[in-house]
Amino acid sequence: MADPTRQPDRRRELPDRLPRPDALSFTLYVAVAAFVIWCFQAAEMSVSTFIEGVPSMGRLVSEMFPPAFGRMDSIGATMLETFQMAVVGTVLGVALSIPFAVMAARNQTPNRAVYYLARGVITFVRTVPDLIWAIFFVITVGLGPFAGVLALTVDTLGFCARFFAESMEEADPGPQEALTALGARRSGIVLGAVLPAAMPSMVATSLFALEKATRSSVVLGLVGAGGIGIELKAAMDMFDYNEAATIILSIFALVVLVERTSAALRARLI
Amino acid sequence: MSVQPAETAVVPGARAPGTAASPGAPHRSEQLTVRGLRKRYGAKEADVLQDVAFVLREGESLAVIGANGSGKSTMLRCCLRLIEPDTGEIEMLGQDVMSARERSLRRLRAHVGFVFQRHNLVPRLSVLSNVLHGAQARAASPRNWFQATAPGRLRAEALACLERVGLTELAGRRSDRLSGGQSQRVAIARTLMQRPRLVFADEPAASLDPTAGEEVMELFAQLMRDEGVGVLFTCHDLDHARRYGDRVLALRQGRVMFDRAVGEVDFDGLRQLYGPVPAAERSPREVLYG
Ligand SMILES: Nc1ncnc2c1ncn2[C@@H]1O[C@H](COP(=O)(O)OP(=O)(O)OP(=O)(O)O)[C@@H](O)[C@H]1O
Ligand SMILES: [Mg+2]
Repeated sequence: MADPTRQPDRRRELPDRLPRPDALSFTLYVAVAAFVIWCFQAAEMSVSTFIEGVPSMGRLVSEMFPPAFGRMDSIGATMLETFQMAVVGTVLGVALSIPFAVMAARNQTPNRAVYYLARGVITFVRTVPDLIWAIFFVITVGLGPFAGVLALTVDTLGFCARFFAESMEEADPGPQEALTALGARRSGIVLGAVLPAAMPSMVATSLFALEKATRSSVVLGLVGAGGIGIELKAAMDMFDYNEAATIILSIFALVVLVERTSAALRARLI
Repeated sequence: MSVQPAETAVVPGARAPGTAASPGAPHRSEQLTVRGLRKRYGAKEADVLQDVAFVLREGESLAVIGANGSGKSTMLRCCLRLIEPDTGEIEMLGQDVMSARERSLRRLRAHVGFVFQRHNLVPRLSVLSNVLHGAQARAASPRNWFQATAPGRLRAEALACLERVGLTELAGRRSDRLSGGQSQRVAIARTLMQRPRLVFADEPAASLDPTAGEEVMELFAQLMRDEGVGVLFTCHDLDHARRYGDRVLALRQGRVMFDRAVGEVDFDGLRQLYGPVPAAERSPREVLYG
């Protein structure tokens, strides 16, 4: 009975392809676009300055070749120290993150006040950049790797505690209820049910933290907090670009090695 | 369970009681008394439990039946204050539950097993570690809770609990690598590790096949016979209620419809409690197993 050719044209009834913005969102779009353009201006973007800079970039790079491997043994030793700082900072930071995460996980925290306090500390620690922590610790404990380790510990705390808390919040409530029902304390529930459930994601996060700490550790030396950074700065300051090239290549090698190993470990974990 | 102590020896797999409570003792004391229990989840919601009252005596089993959403799980949780009831009096093992502070509530819970529909084992931990968790309340140091660190005495006790549910050979297996029936039996072993005086079970057989469900119910029956443990269980399988309950408590929309001895329950008339079920909506269980 229904002849398809005679059906009324229903295209008018289709919804719009894109929702029409109301006045408020339209104003917002325009404001955001204007803000971005304003930011570009403030950044003193200049195509001509960039083009003028290209030859000196070329010169700097060409002066780096060939890399000088003369002091490779000393550079190697400092690279090792750098990585050791990263490992220690990560281990301490991860250990510190666990109690903070328990306090900052909505379903584990002993009470509201502790929760907001822990969240606040973690947010503060995370938002202050690692170099600023390094400067702070260089001033307070003096030059050297210890200041770097402390900076990395605090930086790892900011990174890990938040993700640990999230994985604790996601832990299946069933086993936790079972342990509550058999008379377990809060510590028993955390240790017996929450941590085992959160463990894979926490290990993955810790490996990410190690990668992040490795990248951070190579620049901490710039402010005197130990590691390879100071060597790089010295080489640059003394126009020893060949040696600077060697250091940059070693940093590249270390970071790639750590990232690859960590990725492989994480893949095995899943 | 209408089973006399004399029959104990005939039951296959029945073992000598571990902690002796005299089965068939002339005086059966009340293990759980609930009066005027009321609960609603939100201020604007209807009451989930209204004026619920019942008594559970030593070595007795109470089957709680009722349609989905009638408040069975809520009732069980309220008795242990896993969910805070609004009002009511609860006396459990001679203690007032409602006025108990955190510490004494924990001590009380330690004597009460709770078996869930979903076993609620801790994944990634071994079966034996999960059983050891049952002793958390009486073995307070964390090293007692894990197979790798627990002292031999506790490990042996946990293994004995596994033996009672027939799963010693799985002690080292990760608990997330078990079948549903095995998991539920491990959960019961964890409860045994508590040396419970009272056991709550919320649809313990509901996600198991008929044989595994039967085995699980039989384990509870044994626990009652051998150790005089009171068992409070919910189920949708009226056959289980009839065979494993001494008394039957029927809930309807949060109210006790009746509470009587199993012999006085008209199970055929009861099907109306759930309303007629059209053939098309029969559960897979009914379709598969008749
Ligand atoms: N955490 C909760 N928050 C709000 N309402 C809830 C919560 N838990 C249960 N309810 C409500 O309380 C009522 C009773 O639920 P309950 O789980 O106790 O029923 P039940 O008898 O165990 O049902 P079933 O047979 O399906 O297990 C239901 O209407 C449910 O929607
Ligand atoms: Mg339920």
